[in-house]
Amino acid sequence: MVNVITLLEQLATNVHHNISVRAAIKEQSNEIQKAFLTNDATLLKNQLGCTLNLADKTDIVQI
Amino acid sequence: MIKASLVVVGSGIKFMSHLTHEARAYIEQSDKVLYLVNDPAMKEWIKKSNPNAKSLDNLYIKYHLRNDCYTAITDYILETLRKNQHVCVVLYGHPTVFSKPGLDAVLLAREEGYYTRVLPGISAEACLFADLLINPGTYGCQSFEATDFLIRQRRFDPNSHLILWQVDVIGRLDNPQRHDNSNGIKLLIDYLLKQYSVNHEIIIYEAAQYPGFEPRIEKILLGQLQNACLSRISTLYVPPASKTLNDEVTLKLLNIYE
Repeated sequence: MVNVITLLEQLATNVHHNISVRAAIKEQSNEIQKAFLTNDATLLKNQLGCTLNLADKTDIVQI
Repeated sequence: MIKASLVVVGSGIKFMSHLTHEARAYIEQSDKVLYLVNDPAMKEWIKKSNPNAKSLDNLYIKYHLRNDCYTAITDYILETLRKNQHVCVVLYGHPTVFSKPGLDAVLLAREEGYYTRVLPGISAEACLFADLLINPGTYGCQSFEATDFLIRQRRFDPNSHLILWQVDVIGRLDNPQRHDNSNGIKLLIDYLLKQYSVNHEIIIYEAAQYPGFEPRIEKILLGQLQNACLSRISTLYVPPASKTLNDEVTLKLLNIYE
């Protein structure tokens, strides 16, 4: 099975008409396939082991 | 040859797809890489690309107030630079768009005489223009951080594009995992209703973070915003309410004839 990071790199470096997402993910786990098919980035992040408080915001209003 | 430098790069929004050649070169070739990105895949890629890469996550969560976290991050970047090495800081999106610590570090490093550069990245705003098919030059475009927009009662032109950022954390100066945003959203709706109708169509937007994924583009009415599902990366786009008429006097002064 291709590592998820490698899979994402493959997808990032191929245009949509040269790669089929469905074909590329078919050997991935059910959860990763589900993340792609339902467009659920949070599920994919969870599958990548993301448990940290990610830096979603790097700006703040100055009072 | 310059012996020490600080280059702050943006990694874009979509994993790898948005990484520029020059950003990649700095990540791979700098003496030290410090990173604060919101994507575990990008973290793994950076660690793989440079063995001297270090996450700033621990500083991001160390203090209660986000401002204190950013000050600590800026201090740490400068501390690393003062060891006389080439430092690359990676921030997601565009490194100076709605992002404080990298810009502060560059300004302070420059005062200390260091060579500094900021390399642009694809921001969420750039993605929004592409995905929503918007040309900001057509009607003009205003962009505000949501809390700033409310507490300063920002004046804006309702006939221009309006983009509001960080709508899910209105009024929060800390770094909450979960919180009730309903009061902030109510205040935002009340403020927008002074300029738009309750039936004005607005869009909740989230750029795609991974290749193979689609952006979230959810059209709702302004009156439905209270019950809308927002996330930490949601942005609110408010289209122009109507068309602004030309000023006849100015047209004549500029010798423009319709």
